[in-house]
Amino acid sequence: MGFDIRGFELEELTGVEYRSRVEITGRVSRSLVEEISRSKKEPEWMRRLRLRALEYFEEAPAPQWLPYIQRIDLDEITTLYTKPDVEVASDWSDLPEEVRRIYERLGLPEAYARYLAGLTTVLDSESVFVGVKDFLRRLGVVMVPMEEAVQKYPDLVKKYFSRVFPYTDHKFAALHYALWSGGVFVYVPRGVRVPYPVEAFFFLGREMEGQFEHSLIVADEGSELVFIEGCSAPRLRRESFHDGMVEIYAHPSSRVSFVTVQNWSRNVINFNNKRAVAEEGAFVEWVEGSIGSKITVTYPSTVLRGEGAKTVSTLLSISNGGYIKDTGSKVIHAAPRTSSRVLSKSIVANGGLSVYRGLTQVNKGAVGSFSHVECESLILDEKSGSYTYPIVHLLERDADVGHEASTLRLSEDQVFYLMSRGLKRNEVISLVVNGFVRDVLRKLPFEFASMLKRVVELEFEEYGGVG
Amino acid sequence: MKSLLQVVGDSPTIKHYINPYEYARLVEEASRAGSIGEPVVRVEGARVAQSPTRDEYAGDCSSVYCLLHKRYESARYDIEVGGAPGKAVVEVNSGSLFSAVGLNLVVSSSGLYVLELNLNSKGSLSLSLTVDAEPGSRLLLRVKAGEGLASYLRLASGLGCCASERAVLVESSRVLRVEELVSVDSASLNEKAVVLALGRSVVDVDVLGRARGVGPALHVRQLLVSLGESTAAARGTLVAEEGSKEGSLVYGIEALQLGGLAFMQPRLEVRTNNVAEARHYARNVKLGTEQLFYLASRGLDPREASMLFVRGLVKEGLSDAALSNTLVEEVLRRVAPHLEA
Repeated sequence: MGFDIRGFELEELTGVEYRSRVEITGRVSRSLVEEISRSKKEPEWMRRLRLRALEYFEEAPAPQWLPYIQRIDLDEITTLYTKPDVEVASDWSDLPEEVRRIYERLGLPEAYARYLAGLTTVLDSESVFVGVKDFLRRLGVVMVPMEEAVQKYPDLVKKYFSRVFPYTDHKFAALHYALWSGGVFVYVPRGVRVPYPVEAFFFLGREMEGQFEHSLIVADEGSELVFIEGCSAPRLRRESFHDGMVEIYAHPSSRVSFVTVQNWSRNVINFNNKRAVAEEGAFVEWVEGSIGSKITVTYPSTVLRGEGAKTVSTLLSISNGGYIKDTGSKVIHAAPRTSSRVLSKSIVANGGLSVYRGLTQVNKGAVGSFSHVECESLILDEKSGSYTYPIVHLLERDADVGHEASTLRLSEDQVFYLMSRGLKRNEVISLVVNGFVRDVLRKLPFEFASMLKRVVELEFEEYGGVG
Repeated sequence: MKSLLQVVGDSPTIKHYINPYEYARLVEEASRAGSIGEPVVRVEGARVAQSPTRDEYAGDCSSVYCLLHKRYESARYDIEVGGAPGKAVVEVNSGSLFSAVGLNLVVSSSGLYVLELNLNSKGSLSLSLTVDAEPGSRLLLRVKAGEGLASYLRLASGLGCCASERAVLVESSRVLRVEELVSVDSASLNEKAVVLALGRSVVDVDVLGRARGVGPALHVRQLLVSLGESTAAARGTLVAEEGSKEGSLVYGIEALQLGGLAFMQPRLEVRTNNVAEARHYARNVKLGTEQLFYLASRGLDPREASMLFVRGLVKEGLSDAALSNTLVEEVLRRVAPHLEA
């Protein structure tokens, strides 16, 4: 399989030009929210949900525990909804040339042709390409833009939308529900195992813009799905804001793997709200490669609601330069004999800051549950920092819970040792970084491992490449 | 009061194990009722004198509890222990609804010293204890808080050089918030804290440790034992300060739940890449049927096996034999009836 490294070439582009059909600008307000709802011709229940979320957003305080978000001025994000001047296409050739060119640079047509069962691409606030291969349709899998799902499958959407991650969770979740646009709805019927991954790709093309896509995945009993989420943006002169959401509902005995390769450009402030509910015997896997963005705040979470449900989170974050990655994983064991594993690795260099913020909670009655959390940070220079804030809540004594973490540094002794054996300094750093991430990479399927490895290589190119 | 409540922070998950608003309301109520009094401090086995200074709160005093203490502290005493190894007992009593007192403990003994601190008031007590220990000293601080209103203990210490080891045993039947501040500057401190939460109490221990200078070592290990319907929480942050070199930070929390709940948050902030070691862990521990079977097959009955298990947990992390043995005896004496049950 040939994987391209998405977004890196775009980093070098000075401008990505395409026309927009509708732009809704201004401050977050009731009239603005209603205008977005009106432009989407939404049913009344969705309009009301948006307005309830808006009320909550206006009243909720900004979280104090994220000091660096105090610097974010939402009023500066002027464009809160942008519909590109593009009709939704299911064939690449139907897209305008300037838009198609973006996706070709990202390698998406090739990826879709070679290994994806379905692909949705969201440009700014709307889906512009929706490709679903025939075999996927024949299996009865539904993969449509979120707006289409609201119109076509209202009962199904009502049943799950905002049920896994309610807008009352925090201020930015409420903002998301007030302004959401774009995203994808995937429903996998009972017993269906999707043999190839499906992907949603999000592209934020302009500065001072907000993107609020919503992805909802429902895996019915005994089904299986691998979902890839990709994110990219060109280098912008000013900031843009991403406040996306992923909700996964894994019915009994289903398996869902959710893989994120986040490579926003360095001007994007990225809030990504991700949560799954796993019923009896279900398995949810999160793989998070958090590479780009100015600030990233994301904690993939799973509520293990059914007996024997399992979750695994594998996280890799890189903060190279004065960027902040506030990531982690949260698990609530709410049923007996549930299990969770979290492996987190972060690398900080050139003044970067990495924060691990995790939660393991074992509720009363979740007897025989097991949880193991392991996180490691590698600090490459004195300007960088690494903080770890794990939380363990044990409300049930019959559980087996462990958390361990360590911070490693690039040791001058090791550098000296390896240099005395003929390696150059940048080769030594490459070797150390490569060894550090190998634990994560070998836990991933080959394709994801290759993709992330290449991303890491490019990120540390200044050190002479990795691997 | 509003300004005090504004300092209450939030967190992404559970907010506070003890509600600081309720505590602040309790103090406010005592203030309105004119029931803020000066506690009676009785000391045995040590020299005691009223301290003229009240500037112990520079720097890290930002919590609601500490700010309230600072506002209402009625007296501060110097307690000096030293010479031969030994034991001192400090009793704090008060007939008021709320009382706040400060203690400066100066330990000049290089041997093992045991300080017992008994909080006997039924009302709310706020106690600030600063520890100034001789280099190389070994201290066992035993705090016993009987039934009463929600109380606060602030434990601060600074060490300039050399190695020290200490153990803290907190036993509480009331709601108790403990804030501990530790700072090592080119020195080392090894601390083991055992928290026994009894009855329906809630004990929340919060540590802030800072490591500065060259080769600082700060190792904090906490064992939570929650008995009955109690809640024991241990959390805190160890910081390797910017510019520190070759520091060693270890923060470990273990929870033994004997009927109660346990919350653990061991945090690390590493602000330099020049650290020799920085790690933390949190886990629950239990004596399972497999371990019991293993020990039974070697001739130990379940009671002996449980005792051995607790002994191992308490000793872990302490290198001084006298200190660890004393701590083990103290803990076993209290936990044994529950283990048998």
